[in-house]
Amino acid sequence: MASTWKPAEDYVLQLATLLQNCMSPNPEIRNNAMEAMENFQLQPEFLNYLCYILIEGESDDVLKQHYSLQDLQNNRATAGMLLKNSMLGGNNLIKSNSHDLGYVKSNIIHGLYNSNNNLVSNVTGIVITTLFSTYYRQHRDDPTGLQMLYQLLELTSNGNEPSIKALSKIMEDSAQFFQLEWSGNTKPMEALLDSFFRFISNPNFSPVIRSESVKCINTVIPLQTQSFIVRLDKFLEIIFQLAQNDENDLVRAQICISFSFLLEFRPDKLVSHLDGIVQFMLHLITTVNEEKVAIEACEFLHAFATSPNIPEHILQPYVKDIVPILLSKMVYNEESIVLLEASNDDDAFLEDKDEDIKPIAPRIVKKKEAGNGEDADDNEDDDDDDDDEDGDVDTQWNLRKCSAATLDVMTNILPHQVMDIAFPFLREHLGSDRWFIREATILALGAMAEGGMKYFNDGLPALIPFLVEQLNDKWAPVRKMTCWTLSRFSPWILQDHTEFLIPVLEPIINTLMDKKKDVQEAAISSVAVFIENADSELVETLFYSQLLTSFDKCLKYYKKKNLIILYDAIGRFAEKCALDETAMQIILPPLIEKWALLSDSDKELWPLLECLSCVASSLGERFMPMAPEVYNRAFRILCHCVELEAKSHQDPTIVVPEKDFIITSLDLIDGLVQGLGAHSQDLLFPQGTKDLTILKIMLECLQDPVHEVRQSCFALLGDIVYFFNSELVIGNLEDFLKLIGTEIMHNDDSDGTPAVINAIWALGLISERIDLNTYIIDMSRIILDLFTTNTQIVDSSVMENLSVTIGKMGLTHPEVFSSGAFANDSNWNKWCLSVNALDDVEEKSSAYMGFLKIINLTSTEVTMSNDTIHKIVTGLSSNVEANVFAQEIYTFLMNHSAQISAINFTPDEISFLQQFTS
Amino acid sequence: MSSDEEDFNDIYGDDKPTTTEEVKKEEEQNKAGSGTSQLDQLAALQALSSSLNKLNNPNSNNSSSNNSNQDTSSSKQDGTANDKEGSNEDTKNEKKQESATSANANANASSAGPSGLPWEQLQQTMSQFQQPSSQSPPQQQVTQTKEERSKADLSKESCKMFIGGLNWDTTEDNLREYFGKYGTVTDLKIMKDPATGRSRGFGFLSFEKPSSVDEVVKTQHILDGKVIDPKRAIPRDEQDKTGKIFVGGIGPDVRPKEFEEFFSQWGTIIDAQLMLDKDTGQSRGFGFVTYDSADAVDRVCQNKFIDFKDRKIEIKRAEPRHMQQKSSNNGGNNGGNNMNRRGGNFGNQGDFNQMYQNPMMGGYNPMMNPQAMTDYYQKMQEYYQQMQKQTGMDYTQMYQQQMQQMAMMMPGFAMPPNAMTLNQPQQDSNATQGSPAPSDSDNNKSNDVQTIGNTSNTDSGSPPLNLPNGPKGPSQYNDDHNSGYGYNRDRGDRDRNDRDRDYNHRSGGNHRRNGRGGRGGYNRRNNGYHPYNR
Repeated sequence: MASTWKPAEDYVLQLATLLQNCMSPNPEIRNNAMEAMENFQLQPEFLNYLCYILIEGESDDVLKQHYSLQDLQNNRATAGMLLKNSMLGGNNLIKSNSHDLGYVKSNIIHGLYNSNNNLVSNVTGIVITTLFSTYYRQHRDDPTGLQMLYQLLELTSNGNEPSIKALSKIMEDSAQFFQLEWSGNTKPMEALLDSFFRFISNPNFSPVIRSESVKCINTVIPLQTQSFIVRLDKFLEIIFQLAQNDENDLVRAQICISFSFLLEFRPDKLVSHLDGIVQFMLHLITTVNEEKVAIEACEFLHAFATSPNIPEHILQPYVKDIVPILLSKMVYNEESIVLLEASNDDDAFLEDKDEDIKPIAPRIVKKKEAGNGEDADDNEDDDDDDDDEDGDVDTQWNLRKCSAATLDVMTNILPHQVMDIAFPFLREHLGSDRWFIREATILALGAMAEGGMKYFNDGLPALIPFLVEQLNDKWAPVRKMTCWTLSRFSPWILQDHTEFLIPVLEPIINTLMDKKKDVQEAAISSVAVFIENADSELVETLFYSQLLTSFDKCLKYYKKKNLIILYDAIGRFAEKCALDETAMQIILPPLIEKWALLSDSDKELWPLLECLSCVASSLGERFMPMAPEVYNRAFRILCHCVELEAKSHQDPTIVVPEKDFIITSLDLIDGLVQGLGAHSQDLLFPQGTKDLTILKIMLECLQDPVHEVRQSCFALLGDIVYFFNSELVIGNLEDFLKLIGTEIMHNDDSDGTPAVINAIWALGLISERIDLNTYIIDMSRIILDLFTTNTQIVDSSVMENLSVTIGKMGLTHPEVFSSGAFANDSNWNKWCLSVNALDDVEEKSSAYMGFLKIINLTSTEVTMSNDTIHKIVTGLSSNVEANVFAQEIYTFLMNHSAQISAINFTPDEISFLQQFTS
Repeated sequence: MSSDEEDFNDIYGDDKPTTTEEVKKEEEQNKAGSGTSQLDQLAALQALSSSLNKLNNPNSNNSSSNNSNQDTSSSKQDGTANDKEGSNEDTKNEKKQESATSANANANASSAGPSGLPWEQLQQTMSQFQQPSSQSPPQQQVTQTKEERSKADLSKESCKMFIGGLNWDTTEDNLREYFGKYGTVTDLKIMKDPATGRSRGFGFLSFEKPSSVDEVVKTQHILDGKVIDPKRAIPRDEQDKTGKIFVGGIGPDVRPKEFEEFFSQWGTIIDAQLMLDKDTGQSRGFGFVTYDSADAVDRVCQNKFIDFKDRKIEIKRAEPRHMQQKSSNNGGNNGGNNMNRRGGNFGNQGDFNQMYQNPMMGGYNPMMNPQAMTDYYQKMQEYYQQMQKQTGMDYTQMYQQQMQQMAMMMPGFAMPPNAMTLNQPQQDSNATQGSPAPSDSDNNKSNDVQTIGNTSNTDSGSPPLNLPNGPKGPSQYNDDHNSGYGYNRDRGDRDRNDRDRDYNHRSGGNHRRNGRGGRGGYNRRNNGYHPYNR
């Protein structure tokens, strides 16, 4: 049913002009055009006009008179992109049904073949894909959808490549919908698969068509749909044929992906062919020129080694074939070597460009974008694949990295076998006079460190001096890799071989001041790993001053990019050691100086705020002189962000700052509270209960949809309650309790678990210090609902905090737990199980004190099993200040004395009990 | 059993005196207001008690009070001690007698070293806090006068005391009244649970004069029927004057308590920390000891190696943090010096170097850095000394194996020509050693100890292992929990002075941070270099 719509010529011309102006290099013209375009958008025929320009842009007589061929093609592409964006965009022109799609649906397909410009046909493909993902998915009964699919297949049969490219994008986005019935009760999947099979088994089709068709099938494998399963054997037959005969790189890359998917979803079908497949992959890795193919082949090996469906003994026979090839591919490729050799000069004095710094918090940013149609972005990414590679050799995923990752996982699974094969190779090349061979050898050692740790025992004492010596290599990549590899051995050194600690860590610390920024980065990362893994005592006694002075030097020496990592390392250092006066004098002034230099909206503030938070917390009261200034700024940033956030609900034009500003400033304030304890009360509440701004801000933050914001805010709430006068909170108690309750009840998103944990933890502290009175019933019910649930799996940390909080609530209100849902043996047993693991004496003691109050108040008709009694005694006998609540313990022992004598206690527990019995 | 004296003995012989006492008091109160049901309960508890004791005996190895007993199995009094376990009654009586002479026995026990009856050791440990001077081994008394100057000046400004082990019924008034007899109490606070308002069993008080503190620590104190535990609070700025040592090569079977006891023979210990494996509870082979004086450190460091439980353990001085920087600078210089000295030590070191400089050896080789290789050669020796200590394996053989392995791995690396001569004494090096000249007797002793070969002496001052530095507050890890030693002593440590208390308070905070989900943060762990992260 062809649409009868016809465009008005003057509109077409007007729109074309606007489109061209939209791309104008002159910002004024561009802005004006954009504004005019907004008005145009309101027209119900807007999409039709865009589509018209996209498909008829080169044939329209009027347009041809006005524009050159180049301009016409550009206009077509621009119109296409705008069409796609309009369909996807926030205004959602399609869903609102305000716009006519008829012309688009019946004519868009022409764009795939009526231009000799690739850009136009690609854009058309994207528009068609978008049409499927925004419209046809929901309107499967619209016959034009099925019609368009068949048209695409038909075009492909005739050798039209843009059509199969469009199909593969459509499959990627919408494959699962083709299992369903479309118009005329047809399930398109079967027809699609049959066509794809036909395309790949006929070598007369172009390589693009063959590879895109395999790609289409690859989107179907994970669906495990019936239509595919009945064709699986046929597919295997075809794909093995293809693997043997098709030498095109595009096709081979897709074949590798097919095998990886099959390995994941139908390993049973591959097992008898593994010999051939592994050899095929190894053959590809060693022979193909196109790295992308080799990467896909290596990805298969990675999947093969990690697959839970593949038992070790199946992998084992291939170790001897795979490992040497992985090792050989861990050497930088020639291009990289040339590049690295050309850029081996010192660069520590060069400032970093902003674009060199990868986004600091991709996690949170990404979440935000998810709503804005990631699909479309993906599509564009696909098109960008052919773009030239980044200059920096280490930013791209490549064969070298994939090989290293594969070697890493294989060593974890079969350490002994891998080491046996790999070690002679490494030994042979360790002393190579070619730096890139040495570098790859060192990388391999690091990659195998985790899995092969215990098998290194014999070799490491000799290897480590060699490695340390490589820190002085004249080639920066060698120094860089050595820093990393040494850090990979840190568990071995720190746990059993502390005699190596100084000989290893000292040279790494010296490398912090390397004149090559890449090396600095690896060195500071390595130091951070050592700090993280070491006992605080070791760091404090052996490296304290040395690290401080080094950090100080680095702060002066490093450029932006490495500073970010340095802040992280300093933060870990501060968490590990209690900082003292020396630290204060050495490390604090440069940090504060940096902090003063950065503007409130500089993203470099995030790592610095986080670092200062740890430092403040570690310095404790010594941080006091700095505290007011630091607090005021953090508070200012926090208020500013929260305010903008609130305003943005009314005014969508306001650009909301990244949540990281809120999170890191909350964390810094929390760090101050932890470090300064009660002394920070005057900072946060300068006028006592008269000014509770911070609490109001916190109430806002606790309603933020981003988990991390609430997580940090609950942590701050807990610390405020813990350290400060509890009167401050009482005025807002109800609000806080409500939000805590909401958090605990809405616990279904596992990403939000830390926020739930902090909420429960804060509730425990509140109930310990403030009488919950009228709220106790509601709050205890919320806690118990989650504690006793059997409809969901509760995270063990959540359970631990729930238990402690039950105990703390029991301190003042044991009666709410002494009957009802909590009062039975299995709950008590569960309670002990999660509390007994606690290390913290204070937490555990108050939890047990409350718990025993509850138990002692519970009617004796509720029987307690010997196992539970035993668990209670076990719990009480370690990490508990029992003398604080000896009365409760005594009563408990009395009530259950008859049972106690029947229990087999450990000697430790007996000596605990003897305190109460002698 | 209600006699104060008997109670006192019980408590004193017990690892956890406070709670025992509290419960006993409970029992008494119960008795006083005796109803029949309570008597029944008491009877039940008595029965329980005796069955527990029966249980206890076969397992006594693990009970903390018997630990030391095991460790000192060579002690001739061992048998007696075991007999005592047999009956509660006997033990009590004996303890009673012993305690009458406790002060003397104390001094004897300590000078006799770590052997002795279990309860004596316990007393010894406890009294370390109370009678630091009587605790010292003989040589300490020789240097007594000097010590008073260089010791962490415990009296200076130290009018503040930590009082642990309080009965929770003890009020601030009671406490003031009790300690009033030692001098004017200027400030006093009993720590209370903020939720319940109940005493947490410890507090702080300050006297007007430091001399009062001196008086208080000389004797034992009983308040409200409970032995309390007053300890001197060390002023912050005095802490750096205390001395800390690093101890390496400790056997895995050593328990924290015997570790502390062993090192108490050189002086009064403020903190002894044996690093334990969190999973197995076994010693991780190293630890730290903080003495109250630099002299004690000097004494213990006169020996680089000390025999402890059939092993040569290694002692290294830890310097206060603010000294550390200086020392690491010095370390650098020493490194240079040592390098030169080594040249001499090895005799044919010159050849060794030349070999690497020989142009005939071929093109550029990264391992051709003769100085670095010499350095590593040197360090490797140290590693193997360390390894011998831990494994008891023959050093020379392993060293040679290693050298061979290195030679195989690195083309161009030749076996050091003097690898075979490791075991030959090198008296010269001792003479050139920059470390404080040891007395004759010490020298002999160290020769006895060093079966590794005297090369170890060569290294005794060398930088690669210029270990430890600076004293710190008690560790964050409460190893004592593992030792079964109880929280009492631990808490004493924690609250010994303000700074420590703050520190631990925060460490409590850290624990809580572990307990809860932690702060949000931005994605820190993603920072940093990894060669194949996706």
